Amino acid sequence: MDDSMHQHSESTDHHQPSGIKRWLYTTNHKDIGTLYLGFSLLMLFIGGAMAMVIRAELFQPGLQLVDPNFFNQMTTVHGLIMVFGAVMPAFVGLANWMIPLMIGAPDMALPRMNNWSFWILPFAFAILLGSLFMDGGGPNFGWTFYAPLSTTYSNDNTALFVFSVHIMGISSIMGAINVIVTIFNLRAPGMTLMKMPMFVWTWLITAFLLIAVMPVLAGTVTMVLTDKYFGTSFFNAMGGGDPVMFQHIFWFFGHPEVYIMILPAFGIVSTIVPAFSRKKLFGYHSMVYATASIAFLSFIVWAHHMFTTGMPLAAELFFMYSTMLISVPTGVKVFNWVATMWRGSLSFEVPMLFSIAFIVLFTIGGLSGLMLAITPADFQYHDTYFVVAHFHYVLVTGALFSIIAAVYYWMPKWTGNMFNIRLAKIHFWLSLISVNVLFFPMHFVGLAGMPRRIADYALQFADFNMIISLGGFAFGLSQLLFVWCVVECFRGGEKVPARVWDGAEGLEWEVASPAPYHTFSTPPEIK
Amino acid sequence: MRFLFTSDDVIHAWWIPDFAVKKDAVPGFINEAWTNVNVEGIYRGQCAELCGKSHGFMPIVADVRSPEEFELWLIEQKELVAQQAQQEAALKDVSFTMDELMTLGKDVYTANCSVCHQPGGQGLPGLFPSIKDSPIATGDVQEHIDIVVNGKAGSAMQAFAKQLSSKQLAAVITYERNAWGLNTGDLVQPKDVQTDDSSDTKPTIETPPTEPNLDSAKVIEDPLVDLDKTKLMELGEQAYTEHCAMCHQASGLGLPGAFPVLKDSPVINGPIDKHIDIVLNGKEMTAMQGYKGKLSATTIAAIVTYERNAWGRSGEVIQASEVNVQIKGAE
Repeated sequence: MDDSMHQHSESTDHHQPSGIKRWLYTTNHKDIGTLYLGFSLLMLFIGGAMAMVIRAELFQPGLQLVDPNFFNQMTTVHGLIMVFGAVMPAFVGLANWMIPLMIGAPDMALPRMNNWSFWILPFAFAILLGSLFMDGGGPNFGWTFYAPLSTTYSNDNTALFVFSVHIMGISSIMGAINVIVTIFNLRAPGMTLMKMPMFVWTWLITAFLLIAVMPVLAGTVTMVLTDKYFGTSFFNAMGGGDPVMFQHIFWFFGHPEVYIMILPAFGIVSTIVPAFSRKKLFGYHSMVYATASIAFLSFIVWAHHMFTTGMPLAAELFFMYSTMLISVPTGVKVFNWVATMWRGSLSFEVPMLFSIAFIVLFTIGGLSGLMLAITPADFQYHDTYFVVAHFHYVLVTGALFSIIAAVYYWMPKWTGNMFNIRLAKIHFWLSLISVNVLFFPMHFVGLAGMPRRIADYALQFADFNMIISLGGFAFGLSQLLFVWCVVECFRGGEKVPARVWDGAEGLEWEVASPAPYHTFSTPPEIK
Repeated sequence: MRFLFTSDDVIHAWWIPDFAVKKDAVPGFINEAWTNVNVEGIYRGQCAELCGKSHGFMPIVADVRSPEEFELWLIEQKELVAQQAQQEAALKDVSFTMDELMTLGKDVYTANCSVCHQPGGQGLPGLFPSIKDSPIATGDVQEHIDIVVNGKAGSAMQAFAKQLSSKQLAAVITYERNAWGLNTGDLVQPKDVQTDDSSDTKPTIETPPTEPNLDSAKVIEDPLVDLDKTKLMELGEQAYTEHCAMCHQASGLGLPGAFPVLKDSPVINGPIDKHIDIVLNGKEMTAMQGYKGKLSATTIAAIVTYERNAWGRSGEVIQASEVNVQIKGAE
């Protein structure tokens, strides 16, 4: 009782440090969530600027703006920043903000570790971005850093890349531990596992994936480090190693990583679609089991990234079929979302628009993934722009759209203000059109034979590349509207009630808007 | 068709979209793939696995021909290699002046070395070492030759033995030792580079100049087997269509005012050795170029045979050995 009184007094008296110290020393899940989200927005624009350089160079055939080595650095760092700097921290930020609110916890279970896991991230990316300005340049071997390109033949700054990835990995693992411990220990009385909101469920499973595979990534980069600097031969055939083993280890991390970036997105869409359909989520249980099945299957499909490396036929068949199997639980999810909307009382607020776009466009990305899973077809598609189109459909119109939807959905709760709806709708429509102009023609150039990661291309690809680049510039510029909306919403606007969206369900809508600095000091009762 | 892939440096991927075959070339391992190509022709593709800064500039060309044509092509290639070997052997006793070597060396350097080491020889700090400030360019000549010819293991510096002739190698090394104000005054001659080759025991670094010395007799003899007239005519018609008909026309009538008539011309009705000579060496001050070194003796023999027997004329059969005598005679 004393304890809860004490906590109560804290929530009213704000005796935290002010200014920069508030953010440096904070152990508050909402502050750290905001830090993560702000950081990932910054990274989205840095990575986006690199994408603009790539698309500007590819606007016309020939080399106009950058030399091929710098181009490779751009593709590499664009990938690393978007995966580790934009998408993953954004989801961790949303987890920080929303999981305690959704399960009725006062904060994350390990608040100091929470602080640390965020504050090492800026250092990781400062190292990575700093290497771009050093002699020899940044990493130029693709975000997949295949050996021996990243070992024997890489530049002297590879160690910086390795350390930077190590730090990102540590940060992710700590974030994941925090999520698991919070969910298992701090749920409000009465909230059983099967009563948890979908977003919490997907994050719980994602956190297990993170803990399982981030150490594998750390191992991979460490082997790259010792191969390059200490004379080991993990990936060097001359010393008895095997360059293909690198790819096995990397993709054992890399494929679950794909689901790390999409499972929380599933959780977000499963939260938003019922809210604006004014119905309960269709098939909640099947949704949970589908998520768990995807997570399990994600560990036994890794070699579908490596069909052209010369695997035995039996392995090719196994990985083909196991990959196709993933489409079953994913199909269950898509079906459930559509079934949730079926005969619902639909309204099309901005978060719902982005969620519906997610469902349609992610499905396109999923279907092209199914095409890529077919081994003999993959011989043709592998390492072409078709693959680029595929993973941008699942990552941009998938993960990124869900993050944007989540921000529009919960931002009024964070700030207490409604965003500029008209501007947000313009943002949606511009993004929707430009993103398809950007990525859809990539399917065609890929099928026509344009390999990925090239700075110059054959003349027959010129027209499509110009269209793609124009779509790219338009999509990049449209995101400035997003920043405008976010900044405007944080500065003020029309005040919103506790339950911002009338169909929304969940504990987060029980607390005031904006959410008080400390919430649920006394756990709520779940019936 | 069966393909075997491997790589000298990083992982590449061999891909020709029309074949729907893509396979990684992994250093230290050999990969295999196969395909059936039904239509002869030139097929193009490019490297599909990120392999460094020049990944976008790695074209792949497959020239698909029927088994019969492939046999002929093989014979022709062997012969060209043998001719090249003869030229290389001849270079052993020739010395070039500094000016000659420097001029050629500059071209070779620009084409092969300057992408990494930069036109000014200063390299790119952190990526590609400078030649200008390097002890290699000013130190021991043998070491310099060794690094250019054999490459440097574990770095992006590849071996150029297979890619450049001994004259080009000599020129580029001379250039590197005397350009950019280095002026060491060292002159490297083709024979210096060749000696280095033959003393090298590594089997991978065999170059055409050393290899055929033992087998040259065999290699040269093979293609000079006499062919019968029908075969020569068939081969000749093909080669004529490919190389001569553009100007002289398929009918042998030429284009009045621009390209002379062959049919019933003094060349065709005159002595054979003059005919062979004009095909081999061309005709000065005209558009007629020499085909020595471009076509094999067999092909030239076939063309001459064809020209003397086509268009209603019935003439002599010329064999490759006769052409070869004239090639040798000129040297």
